[in-house]
Parts: sequence; structure tokens; C-alpha cells
Amino acid sequence: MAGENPDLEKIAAGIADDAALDWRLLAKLDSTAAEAGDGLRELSQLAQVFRGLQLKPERAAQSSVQFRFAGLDVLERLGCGAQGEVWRAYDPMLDQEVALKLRHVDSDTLAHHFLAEGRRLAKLRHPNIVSVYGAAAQDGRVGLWIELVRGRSLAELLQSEGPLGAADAVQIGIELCRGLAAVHRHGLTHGDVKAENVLRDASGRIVLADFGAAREFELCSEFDPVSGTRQYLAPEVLAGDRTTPASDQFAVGVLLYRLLTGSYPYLADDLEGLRQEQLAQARRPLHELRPDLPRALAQAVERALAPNPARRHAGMLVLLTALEAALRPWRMRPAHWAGIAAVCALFALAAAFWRAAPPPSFAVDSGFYRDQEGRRERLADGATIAVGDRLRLDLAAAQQTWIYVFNDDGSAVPTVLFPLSGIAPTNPLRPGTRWQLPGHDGVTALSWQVDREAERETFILVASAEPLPQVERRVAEWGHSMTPDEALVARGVGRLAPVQTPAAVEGAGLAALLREIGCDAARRTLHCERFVFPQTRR
Amino acid sequence: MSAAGSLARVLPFGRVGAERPVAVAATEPTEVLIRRVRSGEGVARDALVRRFLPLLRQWAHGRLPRAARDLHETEDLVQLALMRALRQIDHFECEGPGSFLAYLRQILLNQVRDEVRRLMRRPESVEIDTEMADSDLPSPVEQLVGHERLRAYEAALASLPKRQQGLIVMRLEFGMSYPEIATEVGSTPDAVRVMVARALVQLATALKPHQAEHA
Repeated sequence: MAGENPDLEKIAAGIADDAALDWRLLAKLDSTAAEAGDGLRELSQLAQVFRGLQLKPERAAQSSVQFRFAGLDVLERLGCGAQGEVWRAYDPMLDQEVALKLRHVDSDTLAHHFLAEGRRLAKLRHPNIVSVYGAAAQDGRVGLWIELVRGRSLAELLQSEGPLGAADAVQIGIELCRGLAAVHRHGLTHGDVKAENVLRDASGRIVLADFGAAREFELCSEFDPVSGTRQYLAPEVLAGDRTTPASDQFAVGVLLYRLLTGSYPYLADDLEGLRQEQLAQARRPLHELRPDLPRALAQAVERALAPNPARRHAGMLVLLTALEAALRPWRMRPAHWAGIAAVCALFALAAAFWRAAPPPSFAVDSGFYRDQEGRRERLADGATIAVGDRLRLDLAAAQQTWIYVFNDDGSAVPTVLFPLSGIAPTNPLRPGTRWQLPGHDGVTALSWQVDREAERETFILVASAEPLPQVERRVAEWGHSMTPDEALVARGVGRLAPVQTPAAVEGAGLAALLREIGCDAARRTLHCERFVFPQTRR
Repeated sequence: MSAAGSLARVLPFGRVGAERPVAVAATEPTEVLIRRVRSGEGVARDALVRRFLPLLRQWAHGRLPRAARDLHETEDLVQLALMRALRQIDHFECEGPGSFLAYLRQILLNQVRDEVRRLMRRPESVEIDTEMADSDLPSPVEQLVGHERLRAYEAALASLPKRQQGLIVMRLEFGMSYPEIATEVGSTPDAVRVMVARALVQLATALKPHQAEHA
């Protein structure tokens, strides 16, 4: 039980004392304590907010107010650039000090665009992303007020302390991945991940700053790749493409490489030279510069630096998983994929069939497993699962088989769990191998993780001896509406099915598709299964 | 508004009547005070109010939506919650020292939620902040950490034993010092520090993994 761990108690006492979070101790936590450690990290931030909310006996004297903007008391100029100024200000509504970024605009359209963007950013709340509290236009100026982070940038940290240890770098990488995954989920990209833009606050929290409208303060109105951030730009961006989640990932790769070695992976002076180096991957391998690093860590970072975006990790959460697995292999328990050409005994299926078992000419043996602390547990029908559980589908077929897996939460669009782009294996699955889905991204074995509370999780498995064009079409359609990140973390339902309904609620879109392909009819080459696992609170 | 002023508004001083005033020591444990309130001692009731009103007032600051942050409204809400708690004091089941404050906090939290619902029905609330349409009427604390994270925290907190809830809210939310908490729970500051740390580890374990990834 994590409650008995003296390290956890030491960290917790620090939080209670209002001391800086002991993040070195956090990084050292073992498998049983690591999730409680994540919880303590979150509590440390909440504690800071709660403390900030407590009534302060006296506030800065009114005389120190320089001017007012959109209801804020503007107190002190923190910095200025070509495009605008940054001020420390007091928000009386939040009763907090904030950073106010102000700039002049000469057109209504620009101001309108800016405000729209500001509002979009304000909807994003994540501990690893600087919070945007509001945006306003007043007297020919637009302003954006954001969380005032008191801390040092990673660039300053690197300068004063030199290259980081593996544990520190991985922890930073993990937090950045979490923050960026949230950004990408909102359909945004950061576009300017670099050591100067990543702050570590007094509590050890990693905060990604300056993006979207906020970034426009630093950059000229025209895109300017020569603004000192070019080392972080992916080759496709240097070639003129817009920034994407994959180019953000490339920047994280550059940042981690730099944190671990103290230098950039590519050093050419001009943009074209830089791009050529990137394409040729003409960099010194990480293990050469840092032989002490775990091999899996070097691989995870270098994969993020792949010149072809399709060869990078399938998403930020996949990179996160790889980083975590590199340092804490006991947490992820990567499965052994290669060479498991097991002879598959066909045993009774634990899950509920909704049609009779198909004739022996087409046979699929499948079952869900839960990975827990190194143990592999088969989930029998009706087995309860909980938030945080990592699930895999173990599957073997006697013939070449096309597999489709969905998570059905009753909504019109189900989550496609398999196949996933960037993840192997792909359809069709070869016979004679016991497959474990979702598969792996080339480096790390992956599992689906239940991340939301719901009454139950329903998984639909469709197996066919031939490709199903209707299903392929819908997979492309449904799969398109999300990133692999989202699919890998099983969506888990927010909506609850009424308790009194005995039958599982099926989303309209999925139900129609299953009817269309003939799950109800007896077909020799098709096999449809539904797995229902009630959720329990842990 | 001064504390004395608000007490005058709250306390039905006249009702004490013929009761013989009995002194209440500042260090008297809350449990004892509650027992005395239950047996009808007005003095104990005053002492209980005096002990908890400032704490609740402080706590409510930052947890009410903008529209209700008028000082009077905050004050009314806090007093109302305390009065409600006192009226129901017979139903309060003491689950160890510190649980009374957790109980008060819960009543106040419910009161705040009712207030938010009331404000949302009020037509003029439409003008408050159309930019925040997706999150109804956010309180500053919601605006600072986000609704989802706050909900995850509340759920984890509610899953702990009342005694641990009390320790956590006293330290983290009410900002009480270890000696103050020690007085409240009848222990020593050093022991309280250890107890709070253990309660925090429990809370951290109960927080759902990846809760923060869904902003």
C-alpha cells in the first residue's frame, strides 16, 4: 500500500509545510508509489492555488497602480519587446496577480481575431500549460492576461546546472507530453516548444508557456523562422508546412536531446543546411554522448526526431508512454511481442457471444487481459474494471484475419481502438501468432487505458476472414475525428447508461454498421463479439 | 465588515435568557463545545460560531462565483451555512476531531452550489460574462484550476475517512497552522504534521490517474 511509503510521506509533509515540491524524490519513487506520486504532484499545485485564495490582510497600496486595463490593476512592467509589453497586474475578481500582455492593434479584424484566439486558449486548463484567464480589447490595445508563473526557464536551468540526469529529463518530458496532449486534443498546436518557453515553477511543476495568441507578442506578425527557435523546427515546417502535433513532438525531441547533452541535435547555421542535416539524421547518437542513458530512453527521444512525421511516435501520449517505460519499466510492463508464435488452444470464450460460434473453418480466439503490477489477468465476462486499468486484447486466429475493435459508449461515433495509424500490427493479422492488441509503436508495447469513470465499458470486436469495406470506411471516418492518443487512452464514458436497462446501450452509428455487415446473420467468415466490463471504484 | 458586526447579525443573543453563562475556554475541544450546544448552552454556541465563522468566511472567499462576490452576499452565505449546521447539530455524527470543520465545509459548499444555481436563474446574470459560457459561473478557484480537476479533487477527498478529510481541509483549504489544528484535534503540532502528511498520501492515492490530462 502506498500509504506506508516513507518517501511519499516526506513529499506529502513538504506539501503540507508549503515547501517546494521535492521532485527529485518524486522521480525516484518505485512502482507501487509512482501513481500516488502523480497524485501528490497534483495536490501540490492545488495547495498552492488554495493558499493563494486565502484572504490577504492588505493588498498592494492603490498608489502602486499604474493604470487600469479591463478591470485589472496594472502594477509593474516586467518586460517589453517590439510587439508589446508584459505587465504584472492584479485581477480583483480572481484575487490573484497575473501577467498581462498588452499590444497595440490598428485594425478591428486583428483585434477580433486576437480575442477569439484568447477565448479559445482560456478554455484550456492543464497543470502543465500556462493558464490564460482572459482577453480584452480597450483603447486601441489588446491584452491577454495569464497565470504569473514564478520560476526559471529550462534554458536558465541548463545554463546554471548543465545537462540533466535521465530521471529529471524524463520527468520534464512526461509533463510536457501531458500538457501538449491536452493542447492537441483541443485542436491546437503549440508551435514554439523550446527551453526558453518551458518553465519550472517553485513547486517543481513544468509549465509550457507562450503559445497561440500569446506567442504573437514575441514573433513578428509575419512568420519568422529565424527567431532563435529554428533548431526546434521540424524539417516539414522548415519546408513551409504549418505546425502540427507531430512537429510539436519533434521540438520536444530536440528539447530532450538538448537537456540530456547540452547541445542541439543539428547545428547548421542556415535553414536549408539545418533541414538537410535533419533529413540525413546527421546528428551524434544520444548513446554516444550519454552512454549512461537507458537504451530505451535514447530510442524514445530519437524516434521523436524522425525526419518523417509518420515515423515519429503516434502522439504525445505514446511518447509519454515510451519515456515512462524507458525509466520505469516496472510501470509499463511492455509485452514481449516478437516471436510469440504460440500454438493457440481454442478455449471457451469468456465474453458474451451474440451469435452462435462460427463454423470451424473460421475460428478466432480472443479475450481481454488486464496488466497489473507485472501480472496478466484474464478478464472473465462481467469482470469489473476500474479507472487506470490497462487492458489488452489477446487474439489468435486460424487464418488470415481482419480485426476491428471499438469502444462503444452509446454515442453516435464510437472510439476506434484498432486499427490505429502508426501502430503495428496492421490488418490483416497473420494466422499462427497470438496477437496482443492494440500493439506497439515500434519501441513500446501499448495498452488501452480506462481513463474515465463510467458504469461499464463496452468493447466490440469484429473479426473477418476478408476485408470489410463498410467497416474500413467508417473506421477512416471515425478514426479521423481523433488522434491515436485519444484512442489509446480508451475514451471511457461520461454518459451513464441507466441501471435498469439490462442490455448494453449501443451507439446508433455502431449499431447501424454492425447490422450492415451482418453481425446478426449467420455468416461463415464473420465473427462479432461484445465484451462488457462493469466499472468499479478503486 | 468587522467580525463583531457580523456576529451581532447572526447570534440570537436575546434567546439566552435565564441560562447561566458558563465560561468557554478558547482551548476547549470542539467536540466538547458541540456537546454543550446540544444540551442547549448558548455560550457554547457563541463560542462555536466565534471559532468557525472567520475560518468559513476566509474559505468562502474565492469559492463563490464572480456574480455573488459582493461582500454582503458572501457574509450572508457563510452565516447561513453556519446557522444551518447549528440547527442540524443533533444530526452531526462526530467522526473524530476535525470532522466538524469538514462537515461545515460541506454545508457551505452545498450552499455555494445552490447560490450558483440561483444566480443562473437570475436574468441579469446573462450579462456577467458571456466569454465563459462553457463553464456556467466559474468561481475563482474553478477558473484557476479548471472544473475537471476540482471535481477530481472533491471526489478523492470525499472517499477518505472524515477525520482525514478534516485534517486536509484544515491545513490546505483553511490554512490553519499545525498548532491550531493540534488544539482542534487534541494533539501535538508534530503529530498533526505527520497525520496531515499521511492523509495527503491517502488523498493522492485516491486521485484518479490521468485526471489532469483532460482539461
